[in-house]
Amino acid sequence: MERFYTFIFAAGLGCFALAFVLSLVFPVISLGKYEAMEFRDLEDLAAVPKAEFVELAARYPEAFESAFGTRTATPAAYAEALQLGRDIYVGQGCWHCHSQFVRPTSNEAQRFGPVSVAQEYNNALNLPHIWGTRRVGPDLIRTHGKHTNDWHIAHFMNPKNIVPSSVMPSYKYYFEEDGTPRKNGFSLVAYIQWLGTAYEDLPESVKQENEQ
Amino acid sequence: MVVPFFRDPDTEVLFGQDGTRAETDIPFAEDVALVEEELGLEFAEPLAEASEHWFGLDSSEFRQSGLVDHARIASGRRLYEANCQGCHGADGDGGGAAARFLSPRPRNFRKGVFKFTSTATFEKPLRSDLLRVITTGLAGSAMPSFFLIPEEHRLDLVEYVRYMSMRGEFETLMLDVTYDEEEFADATEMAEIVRERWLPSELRALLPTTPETPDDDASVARGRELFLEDALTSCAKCHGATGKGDGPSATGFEDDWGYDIVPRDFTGGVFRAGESAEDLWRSIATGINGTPMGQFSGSIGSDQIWDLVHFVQSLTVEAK
Amino acid sequence: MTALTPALTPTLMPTLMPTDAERDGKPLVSYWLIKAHIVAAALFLLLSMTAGFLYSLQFLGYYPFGDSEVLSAGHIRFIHTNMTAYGWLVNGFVAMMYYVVPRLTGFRVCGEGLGKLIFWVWQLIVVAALGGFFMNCAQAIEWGETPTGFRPGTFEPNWIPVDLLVVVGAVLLVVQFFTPLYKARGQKYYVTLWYFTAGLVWLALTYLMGNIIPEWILPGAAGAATTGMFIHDLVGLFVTPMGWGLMYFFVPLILQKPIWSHSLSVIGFWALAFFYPLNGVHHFLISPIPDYVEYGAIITTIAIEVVVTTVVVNFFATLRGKWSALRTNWAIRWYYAGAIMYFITCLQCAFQVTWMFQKIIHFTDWVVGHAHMIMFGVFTFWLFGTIDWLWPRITRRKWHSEKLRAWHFWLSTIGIVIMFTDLMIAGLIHGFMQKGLNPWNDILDMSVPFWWIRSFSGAMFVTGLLCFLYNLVMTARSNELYVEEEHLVPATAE
Repeated sequence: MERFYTFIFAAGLGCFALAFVLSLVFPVISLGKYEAMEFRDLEDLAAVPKAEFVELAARYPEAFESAFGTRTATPAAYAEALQLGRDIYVGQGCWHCHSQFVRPTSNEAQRFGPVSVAQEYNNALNLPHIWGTRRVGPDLIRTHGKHTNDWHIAHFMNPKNIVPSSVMPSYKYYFEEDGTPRKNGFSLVAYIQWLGTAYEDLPESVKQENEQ
Repeated sequence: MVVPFFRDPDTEVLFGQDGTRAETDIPFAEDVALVEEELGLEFAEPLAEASEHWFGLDSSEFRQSGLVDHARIASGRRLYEANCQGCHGADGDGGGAAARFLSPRPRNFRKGVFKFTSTATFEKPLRSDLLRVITTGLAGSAMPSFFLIPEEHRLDLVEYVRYMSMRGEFETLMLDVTYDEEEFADATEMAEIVRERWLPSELRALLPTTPETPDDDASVARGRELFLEDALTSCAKCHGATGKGDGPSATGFEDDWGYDIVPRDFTGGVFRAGESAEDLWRSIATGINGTPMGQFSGSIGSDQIWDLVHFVQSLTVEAK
Repeated sequence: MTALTPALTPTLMPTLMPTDAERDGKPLVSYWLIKAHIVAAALFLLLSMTAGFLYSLQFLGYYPFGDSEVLSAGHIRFIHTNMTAYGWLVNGFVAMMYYVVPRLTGFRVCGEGLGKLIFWVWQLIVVAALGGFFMNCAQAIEWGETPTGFRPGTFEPNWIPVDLLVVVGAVLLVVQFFTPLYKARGQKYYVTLWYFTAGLVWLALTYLMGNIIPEWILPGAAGAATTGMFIHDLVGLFVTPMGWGLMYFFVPLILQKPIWSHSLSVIGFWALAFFYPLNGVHHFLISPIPDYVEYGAIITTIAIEVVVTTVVVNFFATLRGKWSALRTNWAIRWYYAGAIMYFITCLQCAFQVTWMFQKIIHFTDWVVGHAHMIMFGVFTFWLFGTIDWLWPRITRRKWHSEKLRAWHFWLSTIGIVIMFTDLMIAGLIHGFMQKGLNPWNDILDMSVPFWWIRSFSGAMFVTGLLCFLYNLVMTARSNELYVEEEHLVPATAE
């Protein structure tokens, strides 16, 4: 028994495959049966730019044009901003201090908003998901609409300015001295303001069932 | 307790990472220096003394006036420093370190003027008005909701904001009057004026005297008529015939704090003071202080205001 | 080729080729490869710990590079964890395998040239990962932030194909070490080899699964199940088997005493192989992942605790009658300190994995304390112990300073106990405050004193490590030859 092939095939491959089936294939099958579980690609997500993105374009027309080559918040510009904003969110490790799911426990629904559902994560901006495992800062999945763009810009310039206790680093290198966003700044704000819209876009029936 | 009002901007230490003080909306200390220079009279020190005498927390004069609940001030100040100071500034002049990035600007409390109140135009807000703003935040502005702070503590905050506001108002008034009359203003008189304005017994909310009219097409139609044609209200002049805030006279408005403002675009569905019918009723009835939006309670009836509310809400619905 | 003369039962005591044995005119064990990997490992550990300490300063408001996008705190955190995993642990374990596998099987590894290649491939992986982090190319997979070579979720290349290199590196490791393992396929394997064989297979599989599926195939909740498995398997199916492999090899060797019970070894290994991979989802409990999958992960995690107990009992029973080794032998001291902490961490795990605990402690510093205890207090301790034992033997020099050895041990041990306790308390308070709907800034204010203590204990680790590194260098440069003590010459030496 205690020989080479046993450990390669029984332990190495066999046990791994079993776990793969039980804790991956099974949930994938179950999740596939959920209502409104269709995968949304980036084009779909960005089809109607959110009001916050439109406001960014209106507030900083020149900077917006030099970043995205257009003065209006087009779906193409929105898609570009969302993807880039997500890249920064991931590349700067934001997800190590901010989670992206609200649990149905610990009064989190009261603090952050509706409990997370699997459907809202089935899109191109969750490849891979950024749920996170630590909350130094608050959860962000219900961020959309909680703050205005200028609040986010002031906060990114120096979080301590707004919340003195904050331990979040400053991201002022994504903005000009006066707070005008650079391309990365636009994208980061656009992405943060996008968080939660995937839930808002879900069919009413799914939301109602969740919020009961 | 020494309150950090009226200090030299150079020695002002804020918690900003770079340690610099942000530009303020009303650089009060600079104005004081200007008055001293132009009028050639000593102003800063007597003002500080008078301010401390009439509105200092340790002053028995102020304690007896009953204008603020002293028991709440210490806690309110601590909370203010932790939650508000970054935008509204240590002095409450709306010049916190983050203020320069924000538009609309954070409120300068030192004018003694608050936009969203349930009291008549030019009157001071009730505690409940300030509490409501702190609790719900102001939609479309950087003012977030602080609903997680327990209500008792939010009331402490309200008290501290009231305190900052009345003291600031006194100092501002002293400065203005001194500047106009070219001699040190009579502090007793000015203090009396400010106290009169803030005296709690003088303040009462304007509430709907009629129940909300049914929110139907007829009400919306009546509201539309009032909105478009009524000479008394003349809403459309500023807010535009379509409610987009683009009326013929909607240019060149400035608020009391010196910022250019435009009439609200109703089709966006964003209302600072809240989008519920009650909130809109209050905004129309009591007006918005510091702006050209005046008080309509009194000039039109309570039920007519409800009709207007329904019409404004219908504009939002159409937009959605 | 069967030059092994088992003096003891082979299942309980490693039967060893002598270190100076030769095969085909070449030494059985390539010492220079071991040295190279140990040196690389130590340097990356220094980098990792420095990064961790700097990162902790961010929480106190004293992070020195706050104005730099490249050296931002977020990037530094990637460096902290990834240098530990791929710079320190992989290099350290590979060094040990170079020592252990040939001596257990009696065959040389595949090739010294290949060894050189593996060494440089892995250092390239680590350095490329560093570059990728600085360039904002990290991907959102915890413990696997190493860039894949493509923008996550797309097929746009970003030219930092660390993940592909890791797969190459893992395959090369398999070739290198499966050669002697395969040649010895007729032998009855000693416990260490069970773990090493399976561990190498698991490393490759885990890495492939964790870095491809959530990024291109399964978004959201299903992806979370995958990354949960990845985080867990990397620790449970690579680091843990390698660590226990070392323990099963070095403890009996140093104590000159067989492992207490072979049955417990068997239970320990097979239960690990069976239960560990099933635990993955427990990293995302009370989440949109279907509940029954979470229950499965919870139950198997609690089952793991039973297994862990058997293994720890086995080792402490082995120590019976040789307790004095804890005083006289630094390696044994490191090993058993690590084993105690292993038991504590796993016991903690069995509790924290339940929903009752998760509600409170998830997302808090508790988890950070847990991770430090297992990665530093256990596996890093075991590697420290191994290096402590091995370094004089491969450099043939006496340890330069006994005092520094002691400082290293005590700074590390006291440091990790302080950090663990501190973060556990901070985590509990954080959790209850979160449940109590306290404003977030109150939670931060509460945490700051705990974060000071955390930074302090981190500084203790770094100081201990500096003692250790200085001692390593001075030992290698010293002139005092090391002579194997009589009783530690393996009983099987010819």
